[in-house]
Amino acid sequence: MTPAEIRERVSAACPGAVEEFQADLLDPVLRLRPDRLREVCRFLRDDPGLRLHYLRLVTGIDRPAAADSETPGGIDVVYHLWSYELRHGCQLRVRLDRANPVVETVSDLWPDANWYERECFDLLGVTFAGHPGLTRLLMPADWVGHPLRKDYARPERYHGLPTSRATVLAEGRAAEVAPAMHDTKAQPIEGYLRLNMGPHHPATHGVINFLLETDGEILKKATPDVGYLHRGIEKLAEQVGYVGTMPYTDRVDYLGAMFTNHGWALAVEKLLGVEVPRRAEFCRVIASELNRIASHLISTGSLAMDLGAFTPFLHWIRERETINDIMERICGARLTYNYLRFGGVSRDIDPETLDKIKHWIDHFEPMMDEFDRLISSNEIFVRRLAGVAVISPADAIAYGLVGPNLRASGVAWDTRRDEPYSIYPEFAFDVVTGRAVHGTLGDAYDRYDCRLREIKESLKILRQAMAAIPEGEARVKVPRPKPAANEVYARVEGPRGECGFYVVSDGTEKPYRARFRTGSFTAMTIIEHLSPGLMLADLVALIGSLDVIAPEIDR
Amino acid sequence: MNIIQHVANLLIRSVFHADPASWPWTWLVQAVVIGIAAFLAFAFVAIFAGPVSWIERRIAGRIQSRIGPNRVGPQGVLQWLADGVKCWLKEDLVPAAADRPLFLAAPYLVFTGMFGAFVVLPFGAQVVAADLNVGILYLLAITSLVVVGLLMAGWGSNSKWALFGGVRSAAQLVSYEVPSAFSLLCVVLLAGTLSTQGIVAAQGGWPWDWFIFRNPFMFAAFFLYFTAAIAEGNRTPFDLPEAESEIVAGYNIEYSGMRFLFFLFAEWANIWIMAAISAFAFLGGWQIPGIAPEQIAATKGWEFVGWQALSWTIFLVKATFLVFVVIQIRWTLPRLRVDQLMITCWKYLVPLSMLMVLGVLVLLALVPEGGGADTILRGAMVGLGLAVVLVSALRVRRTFRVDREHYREMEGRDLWYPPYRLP
Amino acid sequence: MTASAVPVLLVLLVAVLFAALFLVLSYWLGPRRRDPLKESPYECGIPARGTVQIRFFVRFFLVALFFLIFDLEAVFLYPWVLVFRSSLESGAAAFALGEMGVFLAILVTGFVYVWRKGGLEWQ
Repeated sequence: MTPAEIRERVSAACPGAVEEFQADLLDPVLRLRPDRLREVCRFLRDDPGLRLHYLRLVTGIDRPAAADSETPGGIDVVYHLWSYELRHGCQLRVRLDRANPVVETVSDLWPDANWYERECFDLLGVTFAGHPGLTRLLMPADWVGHPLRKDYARPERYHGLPTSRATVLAEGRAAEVAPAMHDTKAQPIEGYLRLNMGPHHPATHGVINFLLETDGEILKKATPDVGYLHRGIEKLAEQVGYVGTMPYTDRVDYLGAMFTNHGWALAVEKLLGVEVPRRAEFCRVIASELNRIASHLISTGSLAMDLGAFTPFLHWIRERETINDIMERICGARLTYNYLRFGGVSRDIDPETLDKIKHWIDHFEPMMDEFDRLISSNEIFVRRLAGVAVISPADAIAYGLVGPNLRASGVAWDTRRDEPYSIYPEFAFDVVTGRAVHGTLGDAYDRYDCRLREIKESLKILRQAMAAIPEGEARVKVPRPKPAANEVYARVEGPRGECGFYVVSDGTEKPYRARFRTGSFTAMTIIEHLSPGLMLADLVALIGSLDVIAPEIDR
Repeated sequence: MNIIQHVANLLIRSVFHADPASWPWTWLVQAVVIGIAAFLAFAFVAIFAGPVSWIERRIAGRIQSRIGPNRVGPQGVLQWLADGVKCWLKEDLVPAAADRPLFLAAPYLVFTGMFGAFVVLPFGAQVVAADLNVGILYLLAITSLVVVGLLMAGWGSNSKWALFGGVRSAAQLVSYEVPSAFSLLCVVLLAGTLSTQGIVAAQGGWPWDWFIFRNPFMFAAFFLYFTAAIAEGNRTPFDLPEAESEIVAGYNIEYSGMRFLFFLFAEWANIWIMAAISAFAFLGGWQIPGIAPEQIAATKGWEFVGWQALSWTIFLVKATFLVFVVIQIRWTLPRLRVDQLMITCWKYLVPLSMLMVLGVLVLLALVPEGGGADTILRGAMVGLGLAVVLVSALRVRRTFRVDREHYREMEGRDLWYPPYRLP
Repeated sequence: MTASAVPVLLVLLVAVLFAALFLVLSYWLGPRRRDPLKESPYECGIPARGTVQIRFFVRFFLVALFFLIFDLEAVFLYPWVLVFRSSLESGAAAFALGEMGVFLAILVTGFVYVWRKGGLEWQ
């Protein structure tokens, strides 16, 4: 169903709710009356002809009144919806009063909206009426101001800590950190052992804090507290422009930098209407699939390490080392690639590197069997994962899980196949889904199993891509990007699932608003839901099997 | 007569020119000799626990395609010394919130419990610090001292992760104490004595005289004991008390420097102790094939020393082999969850080990030792043991062959593979 | 018995002395720089909240109880085993076995009871 048809249905069901249909945008948007938002959302979700069960993204955009125009300013909240079953989606927008931005929550309709709305409240000051716990998400609880507002002025100091580089350099080492900074945002349960798991904990995969309420080994509740790695990349993007943002996207997902590169390039290329040469597309695919394998190696290996088996992790690190070597040849960097350019890639892949990749694949394929012998079928490993933290398909969609986590729950959705981009339709590969290897669909073992099988699919794609890579240019010259005012949402299938970029341009060299949708962010929202009743060791397995990494959450 | 009395009597006769049986200061000389022996034992422990740590790290390196420590001394053999000295130079931190007496005393208990076990280990034909007539009971008791130490460390640190580690280790160690006690009971049943030397003497040098191959129940009891011993040593897959990915480091999280080293030291020494117990209780200990203990005791002078050294070596080789097995297990398996750990113990190991005691009891009553049935049983068990060893060796060989072929295929390709090999 | 206990006590004494010596040496050799952050308990890098001395998993208490029962049983069997060996030779094995059988039967009944009651479950 096209957005126009969806609009027809919404208008018919909720007359007067749609104020405007912005059909001229690349991704058309329905502008709704804020007081009718919940009604429309409920309809969109529950209508059998629409079934938009997946809330992809909630974005706040500050639009202060321009000095020369009479249009009043406001804060936009944009909702991206999608239906896996019917393969259609739509975008909703509400415009709120800038002085007192209030809108009703949709977190009871789509649970993953809970964190999106908290983030929006945190960074833009939008109040979501009826939200179960509207506290700051990324910034400290006692922070002053909302950073993504256009007129935001950074406070000079926070608890005595200077916030600007110049002051830090002038004053030297910061004074002792006041404890108030660490205040978390969760309510305790009386009588239970309260415990901080993280930020410096070996199993949290980065600086994430889980505030645990435990009865001995059994968890009553685990509340994630994030923001320790918040660098404000979305804000930075507004300041450094389209070109300057590319290296920052590397830092959004440091294990899958190629995908954030790719998503950003796709979004900007869509805005500019740039065609990418075929050879460049092949370069992108080859680099991406190598990167995907590398990321999955880390993910599966570190899951085994979380469960106490150190050896598999190091075996995978060994294999990943060769990928890093190859990546270094391809783009000069081993982790933060900054490889893609608008209109191509930064440099061509030479034939020698292609040979090296072939050699490595020949070597690596038997290693997969070795790894299976070592850990996949290990009785203890299986018992630690089978039946643990089961996520039903409905939950997986409602909580906005994407990528291997979603597929492990049995939802066969792969952006490469189902919303194709680049040249992926030309390759034959399977979309792996959970197969309930040990009896329960969507348990931690299925998520692990999916990742391992996805490595094999990536190898398939790599072989095909290397056989079919055409001659030609790897980059077309694109002038300094200065897209006209528009909005676009581009997504790629990253190792942690859908990696989306929502870009609002305004005719300048800098994006008006750049919003990154990452897999780990939504994966975190389900942890609080799944944690009651788990054992401490299960929580470790759950976090490991969801493959969350901190920079993706905090950005 | 054990070696200490032997030496003491010699001293009394040669230095004091007195008759040790009637001389009033015999006990004092014996005490001094024992003190020296204890010092030697300590040196042995240190020298053993140290290299075990180096060996373990090198083996781990090999298993994980990396090198491991190779900087201090040739191939890094002195790494453990460097680590020890480093720990000496570290600050000895006591958390402000800690329960000071408990916190400070815990390493002593752990250390003493570990060290005390060495007293009754029968290293050689006459080499044992004290051949107690309650040897096995003493071993069970003294190794339990470690539990108290760990629990004190966990509680005294006044840190939540440490508390988790302490409680976990206490629960785990006391639970696995039960199957290990029952398994050793089978040994005592056969030997008819609690003395460690007596248990060794009841076996023989040849495999069919070892307790493990006496009958199927003993065979199973060995594996039950070994499993329980790994759990009591806090080793993977039972390393929950110090599971770094769950409870960071467990009971020793607040410890630093030398105190921290004591815990590690106790862990490595414990591997060796449990390997030694398995070796002397099930695998014939120091027994030399073809020569009876009485014949050794009857020898004199250098011949005596030679036999002692040989028996000592045999014991060390057996124990060290088991240490290798433990290390191999550690670097291969993941870790159990705490409920799985407890269920493994209480629902499987405990009933099974009780069953083994019953089985040994029944066989003891029905099958007289030295009879035809006994011989057949022993022969069959040795065959079974050989089969187990053979099958695992063949599997390892097959894996090695597959790997070697793979490496040969990859030869000359521009990969940084194959990995470094131990010289 | 007392005579053979002397070496054990001596060895234990030596062990304690060694431990003390090592710790005193490290006390002298190591630096001592006190710092309130260094002396705070580790809770993943942020100040601890709540208290440590709070109710804890009751399972661990049960485990301790089971241990008391079953380990005592095992230890009680040790001396009996020695007697059993000699009674095997004197021909009174059946009597010894029967007596121990009664004792064990009671304990096994207890074990089965605990199992059936779910005392060994953890979830």
